[in-house]
Amino acid sequence: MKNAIFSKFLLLIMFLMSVNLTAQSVDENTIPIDVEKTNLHFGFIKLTDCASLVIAKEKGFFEAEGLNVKLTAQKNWVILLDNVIKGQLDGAHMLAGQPIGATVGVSQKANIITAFSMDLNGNGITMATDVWEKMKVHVPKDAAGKPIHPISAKALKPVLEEWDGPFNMGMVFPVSTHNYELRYWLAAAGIHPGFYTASDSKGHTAAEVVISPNAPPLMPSYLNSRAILGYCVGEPWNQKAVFADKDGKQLGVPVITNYEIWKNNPEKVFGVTEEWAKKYPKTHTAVLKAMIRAGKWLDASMENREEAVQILSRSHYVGAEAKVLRNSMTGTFVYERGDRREMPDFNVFFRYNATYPYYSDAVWFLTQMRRWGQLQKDQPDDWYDKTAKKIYRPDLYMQAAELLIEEGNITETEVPAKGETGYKPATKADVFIDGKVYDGTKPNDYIQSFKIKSN
Amino acid sequence: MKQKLINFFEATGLTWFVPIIRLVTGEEPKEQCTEIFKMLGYPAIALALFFMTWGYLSTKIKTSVGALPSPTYVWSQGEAMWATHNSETVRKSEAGELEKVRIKFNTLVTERRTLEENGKATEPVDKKLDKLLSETKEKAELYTPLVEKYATIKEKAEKEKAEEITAIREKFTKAGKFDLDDSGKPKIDVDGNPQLAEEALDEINYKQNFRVAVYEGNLVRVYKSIQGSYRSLINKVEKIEKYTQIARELASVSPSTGHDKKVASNNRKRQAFEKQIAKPNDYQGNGSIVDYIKLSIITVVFGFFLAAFVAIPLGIVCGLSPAIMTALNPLIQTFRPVSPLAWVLITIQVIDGIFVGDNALQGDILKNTFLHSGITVALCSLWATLSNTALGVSSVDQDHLNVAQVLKLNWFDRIFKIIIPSAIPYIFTGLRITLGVGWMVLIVSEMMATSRGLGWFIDQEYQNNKVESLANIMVCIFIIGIIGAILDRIMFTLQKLVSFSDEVSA
Amino acid sequence: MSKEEYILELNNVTRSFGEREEEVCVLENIDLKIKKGEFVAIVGFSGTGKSTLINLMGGLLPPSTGEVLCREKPVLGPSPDRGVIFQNYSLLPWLSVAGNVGLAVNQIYKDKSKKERKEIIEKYVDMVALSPAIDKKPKELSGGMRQRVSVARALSMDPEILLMDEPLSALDALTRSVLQDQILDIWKKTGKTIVLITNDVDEGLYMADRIIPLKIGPNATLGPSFKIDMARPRDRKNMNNDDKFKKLRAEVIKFLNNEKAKEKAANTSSESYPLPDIEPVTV
Repeated sequence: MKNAIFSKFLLLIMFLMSVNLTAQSVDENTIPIDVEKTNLHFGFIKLTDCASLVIAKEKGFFEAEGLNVKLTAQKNWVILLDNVIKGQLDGAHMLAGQPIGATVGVSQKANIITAFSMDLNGNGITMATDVWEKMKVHVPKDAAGKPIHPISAKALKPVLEEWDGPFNMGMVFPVSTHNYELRYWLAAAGIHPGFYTASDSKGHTAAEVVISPNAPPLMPSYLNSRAILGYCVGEPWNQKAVFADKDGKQLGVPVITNYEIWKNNPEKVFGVTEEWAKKYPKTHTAVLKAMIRAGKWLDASMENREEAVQILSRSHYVGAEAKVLRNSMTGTFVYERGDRREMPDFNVFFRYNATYPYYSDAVWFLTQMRRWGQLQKDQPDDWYDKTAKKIYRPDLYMQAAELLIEEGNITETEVPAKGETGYKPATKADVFIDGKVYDGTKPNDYIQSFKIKSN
Repeated sequence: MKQKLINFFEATGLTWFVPIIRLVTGEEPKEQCTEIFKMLGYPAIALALFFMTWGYLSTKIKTSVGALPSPTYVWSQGEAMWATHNSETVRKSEAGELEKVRIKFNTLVTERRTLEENGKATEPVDKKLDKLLSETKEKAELYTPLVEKYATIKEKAEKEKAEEITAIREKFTKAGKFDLDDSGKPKIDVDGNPQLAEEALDEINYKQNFRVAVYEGNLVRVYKSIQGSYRSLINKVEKIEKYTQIARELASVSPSTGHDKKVASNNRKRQAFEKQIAKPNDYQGNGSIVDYIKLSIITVVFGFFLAAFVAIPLGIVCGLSPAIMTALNPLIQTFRPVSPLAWVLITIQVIDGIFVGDNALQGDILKNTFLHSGITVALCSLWATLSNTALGVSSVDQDHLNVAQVLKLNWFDRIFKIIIPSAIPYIFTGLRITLGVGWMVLIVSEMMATSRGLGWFIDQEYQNNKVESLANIMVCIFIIGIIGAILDRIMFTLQKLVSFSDEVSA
Repeated sequence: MSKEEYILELNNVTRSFGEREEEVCVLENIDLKIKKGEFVAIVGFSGTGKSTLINLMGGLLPPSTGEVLCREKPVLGPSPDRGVIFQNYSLLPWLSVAGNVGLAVNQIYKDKSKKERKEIIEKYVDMVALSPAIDKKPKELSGGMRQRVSVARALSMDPEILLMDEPLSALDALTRSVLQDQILDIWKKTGKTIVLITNDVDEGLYMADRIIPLKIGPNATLGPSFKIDMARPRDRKNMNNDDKFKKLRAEVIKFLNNEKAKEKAANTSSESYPLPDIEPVTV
């Protein structure tokens, strides 16, 4: 029962409090860095995956490095990136596609680099309840009558064929993971999500499902007003649709998480301008140290996750109700009401080298930009390599990590070894929902393997 | 005295105070009572009806985030905002104290450095540092009982609330009130349990929404985070002390292999910590409703003066010269109806183009975002003043112009002694409209420009997407309305003061 | 009589408004010679162009043809020599009594010190008996008081000629007579030349040395000049019994009535009062 869970949480909170009061300060072993700039201002978007930034501040990891950090929620991704480019912000929680898109000129043009990946997974695709009910007929069920996951967009195909009028779906941003994941999921089932072309910056060319960007926190409202019939977004906005009512039913049903589309896919990064990183290299290292530690703290225990939920639910951070945040942050995920499933890897902040900025991740985004026509020219494999190396900076990450190892705040096994190439080995067949093999060193082969792709 | 008060209230348009004063001074009590009833009783009835309707609707209307907040809930959120303001005040003063301590440490550490470099004895400073360190440690520990105290209050309130909710839940469970599906079986909730009937959930949610012990809960966080900061500072100073000690030990041993390296490494660490505590920390609070209101008012006043600064001279020029008026008229007519939503986008780009990178404005108030919203306010609101000034100037009484002619006033005197003064009532009418329009567009410009005023706060709350934020937005609507009314009253009074006749429409 | 004694001369002055076909001639063939120190009253019905005449004399309007001379020099514009007192007082509402008078004083006595100017202001305010109200704004004053401020302002410029455009017509009878005496008093004290425009024959007869009726316009011109050969100070109460006065009054009124009758007979439907052709500017 709910009240039982609630009182459990009360106990938990009390326990945490007592732990906290006696806890030693987090900066016991810190090797000091002579930072160039102490007062920093970072931006974030109200999503649970900004947790590393928030925790680094609230748990004193920034302070331990002598940093006085201010965090401000930004209105949307465009404004956030603008503020970073224009120097209003020192750095920000960004979509993985943003630094890449900015550098290759797909969105606002700027030199943004990232030396820190903020999390893995954490997104979901939610469909309006009536759409889901139509889809459900085509979904295979287990013995108990529950749908078998992952749910392929093949179930959507018959619904689409009968659908009257345009079928609109929302995603977050043209270069966001959500856009690529949603398109990937649809295309894997042979549904055409539309191409970007020189004259179509909206990406609606040849689309069977019309995908447009919307602000994440507003997705449930748009779903409610039927401006869109489904969306791909980060948490807590999928779980929000489960909790929100429409005509006595839940507003929307999350049908698949991005973990099921691509296991342990990179999601958000911490981005700064290249100029900033050059101007404040020591500060940058200190920031990275604090954030790595925050990531580790987040993944250390479910108790920490619960505390993070409490912190994130404050109105100047993510601001959603704790019960909504908790649903995705504490290892479970609710698809339909009553259908809560274990999802221990739904939000990964540190494990599986989550914080390390792999070149192969950057290359994957570039391949998708090429696939959907945001990049219109074929490029040789080494262009992908060079571009990735310009934007993703594991070298800076390792500087911070080595200091942390020296301090004893992390162990050597928690970060990639020194000889790391930055390219993950080619994926096995169970990693992507369509079973494709992705090898970051051979991007062109990967692009060619898709049936639906831009010329 | 009495007449003065009456005059004041009549001048400010707060005429409903007048009968109260008359009544208090015993002037025709019966008539005054009727008057008071008319002036206060009628609005009171209207207000009561308004709140009743609202209260009723809140039980009926479902928003996408939950039930429409009721008046009592909105009021409680207003109180919660005030509690947050109070705890933020505590945070600010505590942070100020901490900063003072940091400065003290820094002074002593720097002093010692200087002494060392000049080869002088450092013992007195060492002692002072020791003393300060132990004092600060004691101080840091003083927060523990405070945190405990407020945590207890908070937990107790939370527990009571949880118990009440449990009681409601049990009451409905016992009564067997569940939400049934078509086949008559109870529907299941998020956690797979039978879902209670809507009336039960409404009651539970209503209870659930009310926040308890907000101030105490905030204080727990404030004191904990300040304690953490003290400990962090203490840790840094202790490290400095440790490395200073090691440096002294190293200085006393005879050099051997690797000795220089050790000294250098030790000194580097010590210096890094010293530099860390040498740097000032800006206060970075989360802000409270009072801060948002302050910034909004400052922004609107800035925009208002900017509008006046542009519109009055331009209006005078237009009023004086029909040619210029004719020339500018198409532009004025084109720009006047443009929405703040459009202006703000241009303003943002222009201002961010001027104040970019290291030149970005980083003042407490004077930020780029402040200029974005302030300038947008000015752009949207200056037209009323511009057209009124032009009208006032162009329609100066011919008699007044004759006087100027007979007196042979020169061009300058004619404009500044006759034309502008005679246009002043018009100008003030324009300014009153300008301030009204400015306040109205401010909210939306703040939303777009993310300047941390009321508009920004409303937008943030909207993004939080829950019933609580809806209630907070409602609180803001009342605040915005009341401030708008007060600003209009002020302008009304000014308008009346500069008017040549007694007729000013309230 | 030597020529120099004429302080103000209007020679064959015509004034019309409008252009071409719409042109309306308001005043025609005006000939007027006024001696220094003289008090001349011009009487006429409303709308006969009396204000136009004052404006021509004051230099606020140029004549269409003919010439206006002030001490033999053509009048090219307004001058402090000729103070004008307007029908509707024309006080500046944002200035106090002292401020309104000061506007003129500051303009004329530019080289005097602030203190001296203040004294001058006080002197003239005192002359019209408004010292207690010196700091009041026009809206706090009665009509008569406002007109006195206007007089003080005109006097403060120390003009040789005072041109008064129906200064008392808006006032009640009692205030009117008080002000008439006050103006006469000032005239006697200062020896200024005064041209008084009025629609009240009695007022003209009571105050002036000469009374000249203005014929009905358009194309209005001046009638014959009636000399009021009566001793001063004149007695308001007994004047009505004075035969000389009664006769003069009858003559003037007869002249005016004849004019009126002529106008009716002619039945000129020219009701179009000449309005200046100004387009209101909308903002």
